[in-house]
Amino acid sequence: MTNLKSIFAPIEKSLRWFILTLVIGLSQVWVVFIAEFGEMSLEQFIIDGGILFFSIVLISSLMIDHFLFSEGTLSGFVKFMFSIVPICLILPSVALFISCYMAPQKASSHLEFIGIAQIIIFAITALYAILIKLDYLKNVDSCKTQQKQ
Amino acid sequence: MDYGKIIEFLESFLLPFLGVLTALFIATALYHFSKPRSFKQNTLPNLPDDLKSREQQIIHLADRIRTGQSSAIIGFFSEERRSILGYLRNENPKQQEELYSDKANQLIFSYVDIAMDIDNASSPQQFWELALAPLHLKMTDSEQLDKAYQVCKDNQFNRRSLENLISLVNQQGWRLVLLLDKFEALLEYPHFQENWAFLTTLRSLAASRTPSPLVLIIASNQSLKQFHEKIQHFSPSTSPVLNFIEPGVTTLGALSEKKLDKLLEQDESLLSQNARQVIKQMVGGHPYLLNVAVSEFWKASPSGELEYLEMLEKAFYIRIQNELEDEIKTLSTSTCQAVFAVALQGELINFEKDLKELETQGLIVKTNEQWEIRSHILLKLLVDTQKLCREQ
Repeated sequence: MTNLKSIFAPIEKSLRWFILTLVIGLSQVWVVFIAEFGEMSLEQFIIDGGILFFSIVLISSLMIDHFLFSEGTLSGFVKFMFSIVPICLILPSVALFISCYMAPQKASSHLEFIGIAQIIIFAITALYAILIKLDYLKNVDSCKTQQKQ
Repeated sequence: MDYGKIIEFLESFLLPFLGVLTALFIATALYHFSKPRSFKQNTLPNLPDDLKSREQQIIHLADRIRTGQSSAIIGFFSEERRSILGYLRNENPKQQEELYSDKANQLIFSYVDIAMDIDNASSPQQFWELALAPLHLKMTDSEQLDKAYQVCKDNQFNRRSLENLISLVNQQGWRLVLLLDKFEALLEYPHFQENWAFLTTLRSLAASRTPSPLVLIIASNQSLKQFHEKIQHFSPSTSPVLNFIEPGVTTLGALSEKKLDKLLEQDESLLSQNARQVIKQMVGGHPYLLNVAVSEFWKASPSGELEYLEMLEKAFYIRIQNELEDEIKTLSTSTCQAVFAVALQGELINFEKDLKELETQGLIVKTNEQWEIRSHILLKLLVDTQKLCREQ
């Protein structure tokens, strides 16, 4: 029981962290959604690129935070993957965001692709954020256990 | 710029690319989280190799100093205790900042080796002059502090004048960290043996404020309990005079076999399994002895193979003999007799408390209801010498 709790407690904490960040970080979207309930078009929501903006800010800040300030237990290939994923995500997200922002007309004709790409980018951002927080929480947990010993 | 072209370009590869990236990332994360956590061994800066296995104890002591609380280091090997005290007071600014963070600039360290710096003629006044010397050096800029120090001197460092001085130190935002090495020797000297006032002054200065502007770090081969038993007759009805240090006691005991293996693995040139086994038996779990044994091993057998076992044992024994003899001589008479009783399979009925203390310090272990000396080299020395204990 204690073992299961020790496994799921950090996962639950990192999920809670992400949901709170999502609620606060996308507050402008929620306000518009409530204020313009029923009248807000999905097309406009996709072209505005709010999700892309949120993903870029979140993933880049997490990446910088993790590599500048954490003691870290990542090494070798794991460290490489945790560094390359945000970079691989930020570059197309920036290109997509600029395209939508500068040429909304042209972006409208690729709406389905942009919508799917945004969902996938958002999903990977969520996964990265939760996992990197989980790594941090597990480190804190292990440090406490080690100190008790 | 043709943004339509950029979108088309992204459309041609982005979704499958993100799919592959996600799959790879999930696989990496699963691999990473399935592994047990491993930390960098040396998280403290400039930590010497011989103190690596004592890192947790050093962090604990540094935390106590940072939060203005006194502590004690209890261990058999004086060299190991001295190394820890030396590391704690190292002047390297980066190291000080790592250990004591924002308190680093407020700390003034003063080291007194009770066995060396104090002698039979020394009085408590001389002790305080010695202990306050680093503080005195720093207080030249403050007229008020300098005056308070002179008042202390004029009043033979009595309790009231010292309390006034420490109060001013506190007002300056400073903290005096008094490192008292070989504290067990204090009660050997005539001016300290029956000096209850000296001990209560120490207590009053170090325990009356939180966080305290005077932090005591006592290093000894005897536990605080043993120390209190010796002075109990001064004031039988009061609580032990140094009991405020109890929560900060750090014992330098023996390491587990797993930890010893880890230390041996860190040795740059790997030792053979056979060599490791022999070294582990000789040192009995003590990292200090381990360092000496490993260095003697490389001298005796540069190839790393255990070709000259007898030579190694002899070299190690000669290297450590005087040191071990000195350590045994400084043990209290009953503890010393208890060690010999264990080594020579003598009567142990009267040594219950001493055996417990020796077990905590990692010198003996109970196997199959029988006490044994952990280190083969120490056992050999005890069997060879037999008469090292002081008269009571």
